[in-house]
Amino acid sequence: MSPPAQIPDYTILPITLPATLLVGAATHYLYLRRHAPKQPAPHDPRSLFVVNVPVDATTAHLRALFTGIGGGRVEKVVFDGDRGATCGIGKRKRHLAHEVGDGGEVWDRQLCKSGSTAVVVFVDKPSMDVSMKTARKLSKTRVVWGDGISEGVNIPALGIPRYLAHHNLTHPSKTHLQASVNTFIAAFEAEERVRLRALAKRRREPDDDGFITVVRGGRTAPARQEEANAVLEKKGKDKHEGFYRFQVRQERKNRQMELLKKFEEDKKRVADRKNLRRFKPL
Amino acid sequence: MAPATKKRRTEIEEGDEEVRAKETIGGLSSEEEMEAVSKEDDFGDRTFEAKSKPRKTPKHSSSEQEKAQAISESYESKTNVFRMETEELLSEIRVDYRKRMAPAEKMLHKLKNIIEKIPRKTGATIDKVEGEMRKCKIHIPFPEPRPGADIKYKFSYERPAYMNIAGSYALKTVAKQHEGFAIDLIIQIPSTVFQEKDYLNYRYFHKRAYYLATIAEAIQDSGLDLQLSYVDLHDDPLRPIIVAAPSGGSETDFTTSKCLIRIIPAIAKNTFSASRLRPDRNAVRPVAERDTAKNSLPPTPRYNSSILADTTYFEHLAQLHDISSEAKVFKDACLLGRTWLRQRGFGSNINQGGFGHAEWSILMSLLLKGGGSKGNSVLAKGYSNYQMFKAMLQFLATRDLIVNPLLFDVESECARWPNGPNVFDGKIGLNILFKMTEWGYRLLKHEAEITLKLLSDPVMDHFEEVFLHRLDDPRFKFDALAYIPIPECLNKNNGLDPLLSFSQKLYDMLSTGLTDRAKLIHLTLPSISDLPVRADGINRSPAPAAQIIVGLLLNAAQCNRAVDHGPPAGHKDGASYRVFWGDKAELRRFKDGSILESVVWGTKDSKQSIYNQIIQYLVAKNFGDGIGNHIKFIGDEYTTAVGGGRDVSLFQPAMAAFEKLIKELRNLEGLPLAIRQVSAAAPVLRYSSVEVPLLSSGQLMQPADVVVQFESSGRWPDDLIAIQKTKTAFLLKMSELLEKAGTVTRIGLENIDYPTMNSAFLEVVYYEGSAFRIRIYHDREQTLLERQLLNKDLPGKKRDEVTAALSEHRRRFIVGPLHTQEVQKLSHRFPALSPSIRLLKRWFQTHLLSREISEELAELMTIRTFVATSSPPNSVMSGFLRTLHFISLWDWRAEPAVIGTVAKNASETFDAIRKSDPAINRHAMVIPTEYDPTGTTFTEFGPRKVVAARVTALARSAIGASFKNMFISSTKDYDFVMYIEPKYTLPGIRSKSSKFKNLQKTEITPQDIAKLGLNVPDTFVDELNDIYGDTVIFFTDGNIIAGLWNPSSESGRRWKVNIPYSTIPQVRGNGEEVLVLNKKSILNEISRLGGEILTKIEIIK
Repeated sequence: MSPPAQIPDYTILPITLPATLLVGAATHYLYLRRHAPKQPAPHDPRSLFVVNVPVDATTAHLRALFTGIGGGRVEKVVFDGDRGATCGIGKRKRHLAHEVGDGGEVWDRQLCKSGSTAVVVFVDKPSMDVSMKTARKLSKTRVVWGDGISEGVNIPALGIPRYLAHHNLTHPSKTHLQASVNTFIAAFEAEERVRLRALAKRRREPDDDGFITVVRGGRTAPARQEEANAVLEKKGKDKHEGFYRFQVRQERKNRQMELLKKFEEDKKRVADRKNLRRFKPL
Repeated sequence: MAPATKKRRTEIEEGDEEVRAKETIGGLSSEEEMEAVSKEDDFGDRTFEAKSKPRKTPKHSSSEQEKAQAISESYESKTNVFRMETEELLSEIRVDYRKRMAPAEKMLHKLKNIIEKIPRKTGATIDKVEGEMRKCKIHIPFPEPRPGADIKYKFSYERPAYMNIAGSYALKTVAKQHEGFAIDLIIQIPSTVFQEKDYLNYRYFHKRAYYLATIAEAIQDSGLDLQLSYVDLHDDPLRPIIVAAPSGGSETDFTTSKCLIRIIPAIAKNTFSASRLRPDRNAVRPVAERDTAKNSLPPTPRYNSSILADTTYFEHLAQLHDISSEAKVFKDACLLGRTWLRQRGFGSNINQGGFGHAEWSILMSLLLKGGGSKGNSVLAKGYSNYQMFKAMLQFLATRDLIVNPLLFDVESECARWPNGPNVFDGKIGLNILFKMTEWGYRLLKHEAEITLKLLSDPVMDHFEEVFLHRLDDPRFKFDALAYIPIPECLNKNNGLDPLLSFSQKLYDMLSTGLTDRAKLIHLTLPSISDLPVRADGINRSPAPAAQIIVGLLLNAAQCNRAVDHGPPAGHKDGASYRVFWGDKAELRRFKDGSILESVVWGTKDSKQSIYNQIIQYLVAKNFGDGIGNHIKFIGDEYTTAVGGGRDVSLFQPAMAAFEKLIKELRNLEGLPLAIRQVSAAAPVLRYSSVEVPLLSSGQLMQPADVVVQFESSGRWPDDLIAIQKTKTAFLLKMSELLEKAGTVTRIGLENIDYPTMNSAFLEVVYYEGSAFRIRIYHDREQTLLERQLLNKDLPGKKRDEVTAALSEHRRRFIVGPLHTQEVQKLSHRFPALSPSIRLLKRWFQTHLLSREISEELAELMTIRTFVATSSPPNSVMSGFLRTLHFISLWDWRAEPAVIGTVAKNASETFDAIRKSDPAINRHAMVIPTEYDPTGTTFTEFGPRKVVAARVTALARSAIGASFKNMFISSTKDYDFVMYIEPKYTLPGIRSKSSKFKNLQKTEITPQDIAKLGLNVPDTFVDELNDIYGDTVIFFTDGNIIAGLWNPSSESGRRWKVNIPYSTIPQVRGNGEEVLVLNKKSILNEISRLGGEILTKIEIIK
């Protein structure tokens, strides 16, 4: 079975993952095509869409890869953000997004999910075209993943240093944390003040149609949903139930129906278990 | 039903009610309880009344009627379901006689013909008899003592006076069961074979044996394809019978009937004088002193009963026939009783307790006729089958037949029975429970009590526990076991049955010695093997293991007491106390000034539990070291396996440190809000962590989760992210204040990618080694999250996030602390709970499952074992094994494991969960509790369905295995295994890196604190899980990581952009292009990610 050179619309670019101390080298397959998203963006014409990026890919890795195959220069790489993948079963679902969260980074190097995608943006369209062409040609010889990364680029190591760094990053210094909390709270309060002021304004001044919007915060605040529900429920109870004979009859009928339903359910449950041969006392 | 009938019935019942309420069995211990039950039964009676009708006309013309029943006011789901289940059970175990039994019936006719044709033989001497049988190579099953060569009496054979089927087959109450059942062919020996005094000195039994051998010879000669063997009827060595098994092949083969034929000799009622065979009479005269006065001879009740029992077959059959035509449900109740007894390992055989379905049905027939205090009947004929069954259990559970025997048609004292229960049928002159030993009876009573409590559970119906589960393994039934070897030469002079008298002695000795440490002591005697009919035949069954199994039900509060107090010095009992305990007894003065005889047991130096020390000491003292040193104890190894034994006091240092933390937090001055509550939420603080915390100095414990709640305030922001920041600000303030007081603190971040989840925690470290992780609970968060979920326009991704945040919040801040509180409480109530939980967690760890089975889930599984029964386990062994047993039986796909009295809609909630996710992608196991009614809080992240199935499979194989094998895990089931460098495992990271033992630092250093909470393997596997999702399932115990490729990923698929794993493009044979899983590249990636963490990757498949 030889691998096909092309699957619909995509170019296959095999690369070699270098051997580690424990396992030998392996071949990894990248799938490339011109980037053509549904919502076009300005740098689309000079971008390549890459599928099945190795999990430890960084911008430097991909840059070195395309340089390695004799392609053009890469301006930047946009890694696939959270694709909403459904691996909610692990201990905790963690995003492997490359955007920097507002709580500070806790990893010195982010990883991609297995099989994920990335958009490689080249400096110009010819660079992209060259890369695509060489990729097609080069499908026989292999580029080694991670080779040719220029010395100046400092990529944080994987393995134990990465986890130790993570441990340290999750325990930031208190002064640093205090500062960030203070900034946030100051900003939040300022925003809140602005919001309240806007609300107050809407409360006072009629809108274009001449109505005054009812919003939270006024002297007579609108009732909360829960409270309204509670009141409604209370009202329902005050109704004169069982006053007319038809009501009594209706109620009895309802109760009987309910019991009957329950009976049928029970019966079904027993039948289900019978089907599973659960009544054999062996 | 017609209204008139109903009215009349109600009237009758109302009249009945009073009578029945008073109709308590004479001398009941708890009259109230009985009354409550009989009332409930009356209530149920009304419900059931109409249903006995549909059963008579079985096929579903009844559904209309049932519906009518359902909508009547008294409908109750639980009872109704139980009734339906009972009907299903009965239909499952009933035997189709006509279809299945035809071949066996044919064989019976053949046998009958053969036996009828046997010629008459008279007046043969012992020599002649033995010679005759030796010639045709037939063994005569003479019971011990065998007839001597000098006996005067003659043997003879005459055509049976009567021959017929009796027993449960004749009554049509046999049940389908694995091992098949037996048809009893009763052959009544004509009384002319015997002389008046033949009841004496085994003469009856010897003649009976010859009679039996003659029949065996005739059948053997007839050339029928049968396997014949002698079996002691119900292990009674005096009464051998022939058991004929089909051997296949010929046309008379009855293998398809799946039964055995037992040929049982019997005698007519008037063959011997019944009054001479009363339990207080002697029928075995000593050989030497023939002329001793009759009165001084010891009574031989068992011997007498063995003779009388041979007269009862047809009598009982008639009695049962009569009663079953009067009470329609009698047979059903017999079947239920039979099933119940069998599942608990009870049978008519002496070593199975001596109470089987035969005794059940006879006792029930007697109780339908009488047995009440004023001669009224205990059971009513109008009961439904379930009520009849329950009332029988009620009788067995409440009436102590040893202290308070049940006598029928008896006028005098003559019916007294030593050491055992007594149900004396005066008409026959027989105690129908004569085969029961004291311990067998106590166990039966205990089981009846347990079941009765289950049946009275107002919430659940426990049908499976009552009828469907096999509960006869002694390792679940008892808390501790001891295998005591039987001395090889039992004292033959010591009564008629030396083994029985030996075990009785043992039982009495252990009861005295163990006092209130054991609630129940049970002995299981070895079973007696079959004897081949032919003298040169090979014995098919293995030789009996010469051991008695002692099973103990412990009293958890008392069983580890170190000192036993005896009578005070100078008391008249002192001497006997000293004789009993030998050198162990000593006089001691106690704190309160009293001077008592006492026995003191070692607690520290010995690995053996105190009750085992007592057994060992007493057995060695009374039966010699030869036996005492060869006792095999089972149970202690479970206790020692968890390290540190079974005491919650091990956790005392951690609990004390927690108290200290609370105090310090409460004393903090300068916090903007006052602290309302500090609650624990960690295994360490509920006695259930595998490792005992703070055991060795110089080691920090893993930080224990603590939840702090402040007084409510209106000044909290009303925005989830701002709340998290405010909480961080609070933690910073607390940290500042604590540091001022000299405590070491650190702030850690979590859930960085989930801004709405809790984002920070405060670690507090004490130099003694304790460490805590404080999070702040703010109740507004839940409301805000719930409000977001109400928003219908929320995009799916965001909704998932909010749902995750909500469940995280509930688990961390609401359910977690409640769960901790509950486990703490229960650990004090059940001393065996904490070690059982820890052992179970270790078991999960051994099998690399501890990532999938959360700590809380393991705790809940164990708690269920303790709470869901009325007889909670009292030792680590029974606690652990019963939990495994539960896991092995739990059908988690179809039912939740409910703990305690949860809301009644638990099953509806469960149905909703399954309905919304029929493939069971989440929440494979559901355990609802009072504080977590949905039952999914702790099974959110596992086990997955595959893993849950593996748990069940492992539990199934573990319950049959020995203790050692239970904790051996093999890696052959996985696809690949990775080994973690010991330096980076959790203990490796925590250990002090010093070459020299004597230089080992015993202080907590700043480096230790910096490493607090660092768990590299765990983080690594977390990451792998995130990266590879469902493609690989990872299992780990912290030392190795095993992986399993998901079969659905392995199969290969068509091109698609979002395949969540690395692939290789391939062309299949049919030209189809597919992408297959690139295992090699994935392993390469993993190896690169792990770097120096991994030392070896082994590919197994």
